[in-house]
Amino acid sequence: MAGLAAAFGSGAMTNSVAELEDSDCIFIIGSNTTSSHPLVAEKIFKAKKRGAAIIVADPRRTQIASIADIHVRQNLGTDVAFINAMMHAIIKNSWHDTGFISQRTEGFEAFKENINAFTVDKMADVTGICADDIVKIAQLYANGKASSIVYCMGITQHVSGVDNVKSLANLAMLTGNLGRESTGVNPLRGQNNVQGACDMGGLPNVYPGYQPVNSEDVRKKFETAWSFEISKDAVEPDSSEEKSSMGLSADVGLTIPEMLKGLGDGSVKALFVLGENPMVSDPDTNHVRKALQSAELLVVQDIFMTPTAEMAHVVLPGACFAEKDGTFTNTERRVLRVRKAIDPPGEARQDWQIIQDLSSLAGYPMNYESPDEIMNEIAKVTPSYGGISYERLEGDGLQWPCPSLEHPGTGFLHKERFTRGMGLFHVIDYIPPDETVDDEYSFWLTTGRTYVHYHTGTMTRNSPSLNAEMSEGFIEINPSDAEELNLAQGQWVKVASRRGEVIVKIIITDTIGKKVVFMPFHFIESQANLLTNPAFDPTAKIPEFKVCAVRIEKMVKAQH
Amino acid sequence: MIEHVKTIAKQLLESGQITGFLSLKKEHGQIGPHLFQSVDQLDYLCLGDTTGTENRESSTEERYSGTVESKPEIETNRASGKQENQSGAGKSRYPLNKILVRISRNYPSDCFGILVRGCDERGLKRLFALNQLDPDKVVRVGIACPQDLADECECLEPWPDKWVNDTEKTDGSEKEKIDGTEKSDKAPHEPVRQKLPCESVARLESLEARDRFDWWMEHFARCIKCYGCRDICPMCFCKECSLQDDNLVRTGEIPPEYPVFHLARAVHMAERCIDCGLCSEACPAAIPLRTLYKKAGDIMSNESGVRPGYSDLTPSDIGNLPQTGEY
Amino acid sequence: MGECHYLEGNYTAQKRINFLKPLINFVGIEKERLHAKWVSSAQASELVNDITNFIDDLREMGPSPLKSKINPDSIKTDRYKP
Repeated sequence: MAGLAAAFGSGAMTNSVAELEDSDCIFIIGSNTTSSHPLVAEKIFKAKKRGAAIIVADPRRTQIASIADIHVRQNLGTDVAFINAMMHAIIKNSWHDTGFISQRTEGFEAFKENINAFTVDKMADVTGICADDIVKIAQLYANGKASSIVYCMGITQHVSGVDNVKSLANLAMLTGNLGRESTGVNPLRGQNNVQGACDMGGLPNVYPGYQPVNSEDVRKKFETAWSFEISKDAVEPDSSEEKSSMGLSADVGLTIPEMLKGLGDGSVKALFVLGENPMVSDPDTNHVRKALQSAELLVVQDIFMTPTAEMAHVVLPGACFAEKDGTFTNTERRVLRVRKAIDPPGEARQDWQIIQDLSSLAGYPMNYESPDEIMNEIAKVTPSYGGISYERLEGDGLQWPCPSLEHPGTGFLHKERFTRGMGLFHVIDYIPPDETVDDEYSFWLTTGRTYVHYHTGTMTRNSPSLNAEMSEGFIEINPSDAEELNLAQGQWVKVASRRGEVIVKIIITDTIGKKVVFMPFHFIESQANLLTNPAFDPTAKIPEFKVCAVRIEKMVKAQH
Repeated sequence: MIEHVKTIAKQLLESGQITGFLSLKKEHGQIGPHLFQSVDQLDYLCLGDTTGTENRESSTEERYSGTVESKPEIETNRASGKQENQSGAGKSRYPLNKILVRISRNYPSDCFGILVRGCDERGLKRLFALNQLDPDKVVRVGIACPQDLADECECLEPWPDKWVNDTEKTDGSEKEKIDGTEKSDKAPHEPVRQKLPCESVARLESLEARDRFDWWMEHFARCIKCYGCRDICPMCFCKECSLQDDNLVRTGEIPPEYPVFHLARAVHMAERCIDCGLCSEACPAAIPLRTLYKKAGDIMSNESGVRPGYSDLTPSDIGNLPQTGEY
Repeated sequence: MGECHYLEGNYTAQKRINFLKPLINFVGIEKERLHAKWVSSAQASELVNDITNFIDDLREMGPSPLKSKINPDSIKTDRYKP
């Protein structure tokens, strides 16, 4: 998101899902689309039927890769090298869109100079993709009338995550594939409402609508909107020191890795976790456990007793999607109504009610009657949601930006101009992954999801039919590597990294390339994140889930 | 048409003949199934017409029902100022039978009314024969499908035995008697019986075997094993599903083993599939399942002389083809 | 026919075979690849003959299209059954 915001001024999917159907070329990188976003995959299939070229770059031959016109396996963490080489080929062959570059973008010259060094042949060695394929992909993408880029966590979960995204933004600007239907740079958001959570300021550095916390104007605006004067009276501060500290903080908050670090060194005392399960989802589980254990107060709000909730001092029961009213904002910026179908069980309550009560108890009274009322406030303080009200969300919802009540919503962004004005070319250098293989840890491990389970399995592993479909973790290994290690199908192995080790069953398959292994991270009992590397992107602070080095050992005795 | 359905539903509810009327409801711009248990809810009743909320292609059923525009009593949701056409049988369908089976299992002594199209009624007949529903506890209120939907479906009989018809009324002739039983007995529009085999089936059969194989495998390869085809199917009621049996279809991979996954289902449904096509509509991978099942119906028809749902025969008349949950 | 240990079992089987043949044919698998023959436990040589003939027929037909399906993923090794 940070990458797209820097290049275009807006961190969201530029186009809509349905538009993919009319693309001439769809470049899918780092997305196991049929597993994780099957309804997006449907549009891609339809585009293929219409004759669109489908290009997939993924270390695994996923289902979507198997129908692609070209599927290439890049070495883990070499996306920048690959994309830069594509752009090198595009510029060299004059496939770029000079009109678009001169009218809509800035920073091209510096960018071009940098790209000079990324010759296709040199990068073919780095990426493991043959030079011909790089050129062919570049040609297909650049020469499509409307070419779309689709990416997902395979791009972002790297130490170079933001660079990867900026490179894709460069690629789209270079070829003029922006601001039109069926083009764009389209990150597929994982959670149903992760876009909404970010839109609402669920990030350490922004208020709702990506308004920066360290802007004086923005801070004033929110202090007024949230009637800060009233709250001062309400708490009746008895010392002048407290009085002066009232008002909204101008400091950027902490990211998850920083919070965990803070817990470890004592600078963070308490942690409030809402609907997250860092014990399974965060890298280097041993480190996470230590951090959480050192919290003076750990509060977890969830719908199930997750491994993280089990460690909590206080567990607050939340409501699931069917038990609450509100909105979700999906990956294509579409705000959709959610309606309560059943009452939450037991003492479970809707999230906004819990937060409201906590806030009131802490001295800032909130008195919302309904989510409807909250949406009205959202519309008031969030320009891109300005025209959104529950009344207008009947039917198919609205796509932001929707600044006024008359505005029909926006299918694709950056039509006449970019949100930031001109599109900005970034100079991006290739940074190798934080950890690379060596003699001791000779396999590349990449992690991901399966079609059966969702994230940490909090919900899906509690579903009998889904759990029956896949009840245990596994590690995928290429047949030639299995042979070398003398491993048979279904055998147990020990997988170790510098941070931990797990015992897991192997699946021998050529879905995965040589010297690379894949593990899903849904399974606490064979926890991929015991192994993963917590090194993170310096800007977005996303950990490098997708690359680390591991060792694989045959188990002497079978584990049963 | 819709006002007649509402009138019938009202009479059935008021007379106490039924506990609830299972139909479609339009609310918040969305259509979904709903069990109407009181008369005052009936304002929201809908026959599946999606026009009015979305600017889809204009509803062609007007040509056939001839009633939509001219009925003065349709005043539903004109607030938006848009021309609302919510009176006809639209394209939005739901497996109401499946919901009815579930409700009936919980309330076996109650009688329910249900909105049926041609396919729904075929389904009901099979469900009666397979002892999933008690015919004495079900009151059908029939509607006929619009021609364009019937064409899309290549439906052999896009209307139930009896359906609500009000063409006489709009023709200015005598008002039809509506009591839930007496309905028109002539086709609601020009008969649209398709020639057999259906075009979609015939087109495939004209291909070489190898091409046909490739065609199907390309479709099957997109399967994401979501079980949408099974979950939407009004005729799927087994407690244990063969498709979830690890011995028949391996777990843990997509696409699922094909063509086994899809053929196993086709075989299993052989004497049940009533060609409603909801599976094809639901499939997120756009696999043309209906064409496969149409062929299965053709084979049934050739082998046993009976196409499931098209007459009131019992399972033994059809032959001992795969029956409930044991295949 | 009719002398099945399971009473009308072989009739049932026959009906299923009759259904399956045109169905697999419809998805492009030659219906000749499915073959049923009723033999009793006393007709060993007939069974042997029939199987031999069936194998010969299959040889003549060549490999099944299922062997070279479009997507090699689907014929990957058995995941959970070592």
